Amino acid sequence: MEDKRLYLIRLLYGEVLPDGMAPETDSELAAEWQAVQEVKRWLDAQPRRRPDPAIIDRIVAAAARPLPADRPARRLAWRRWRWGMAVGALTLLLMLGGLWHRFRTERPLVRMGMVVAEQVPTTPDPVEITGWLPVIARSTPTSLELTPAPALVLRWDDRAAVQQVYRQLQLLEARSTSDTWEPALPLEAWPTGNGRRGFVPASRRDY
Amino acid sequence: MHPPDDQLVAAYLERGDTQAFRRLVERHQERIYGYLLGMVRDPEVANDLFQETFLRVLAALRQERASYTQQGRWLAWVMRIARNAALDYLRSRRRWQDVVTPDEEAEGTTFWERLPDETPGADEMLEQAELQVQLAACIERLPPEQREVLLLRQEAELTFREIAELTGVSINTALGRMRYALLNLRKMMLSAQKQPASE
Repeated sequence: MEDKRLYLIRLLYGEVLPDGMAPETDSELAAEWQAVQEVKRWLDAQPRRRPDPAIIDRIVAAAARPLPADRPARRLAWRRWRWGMAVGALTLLLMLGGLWHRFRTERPLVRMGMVVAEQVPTTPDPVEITGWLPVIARSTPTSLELTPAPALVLRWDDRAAVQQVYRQLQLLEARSTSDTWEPALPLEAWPTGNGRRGFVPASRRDY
Repeated sequence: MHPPDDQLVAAYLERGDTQAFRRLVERHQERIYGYLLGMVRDPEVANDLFQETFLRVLAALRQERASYTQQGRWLAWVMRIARNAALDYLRSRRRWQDVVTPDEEAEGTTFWERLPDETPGADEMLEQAELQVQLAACIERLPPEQREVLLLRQEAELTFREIAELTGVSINTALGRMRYALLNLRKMMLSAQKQPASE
């Protein structure tokens, strides 16, 4: 029943079609249908009211005012900013990736073939042991005395490189000879700028 | 020739056609102003709110993201802004109270329906000579939620579905409020008309 009464309201405002329903013939709905129709007639008879025309003029004037930032221009600026941010982020990522790749793959350089460390068994030179050291020397195991101490001997196996280093050394020596210091002069021989040569003790100065 | 609302909106937004915007305002001025006047019952305030509504509309249209996106529902969109403006005003004046109760939502009844038939203060209405004045006074006496639905349907000509969406209630609740608004109006009008005869 409630649905029918709500249906009457929609029917009253033309939002639904009668759909075979005749409220005026329904004993339960006829009175209400008549009542709401009467009120709607009163409401429809009300004059329509309008705002002050000056208000509309003001609104249109506000609509005609130029925008602080043009809409397409703002959209374009927004797009540029977005693209700029994307390119910047990509560049940063590439730089970080490059740095990571560089440091990850970098290893201590071993110049194979230039210097070879070779173990050469040698006999240590005899040392004259005096004082309390012979006591320590005697307490050391003999096996250690028999084992020769390893020593590193550098051997250049690339003569071209040796020659190149030698030539560079000669060149550096030739260039550095002009920068060598002259023989040191005694302090008294230095010019003082007062017309007198050499260092003058304070007791002899005549000013 | 009556171009649809969306075409006028597009003409204003794309070409800056202010005459198109004027047509939009003038086309719906009676609906929006009638609703605002019924809500605040003061022509001056209704004028101010009408202007405020369209200034908010312009601000929303000029925003990049919050612009009008509900194609085909221009009036409903503007009415939402008008309603917010009216409610802001009424709240600032503390004259608006939502009196929806769970019982009303469940049963579709309000405290207004349970009031006795004798309408208090009917003498004031009897002084009004014209029916329209009496009717306007009776509308003012309706509970806010019934008056709002009545104004949205009668003045703004929104559908009950649009009213339900706008006010955040079910369509049956909106229909129920409208039904009680009409029946209460009739009661008040009949009471106002009988009062002089009894004196």
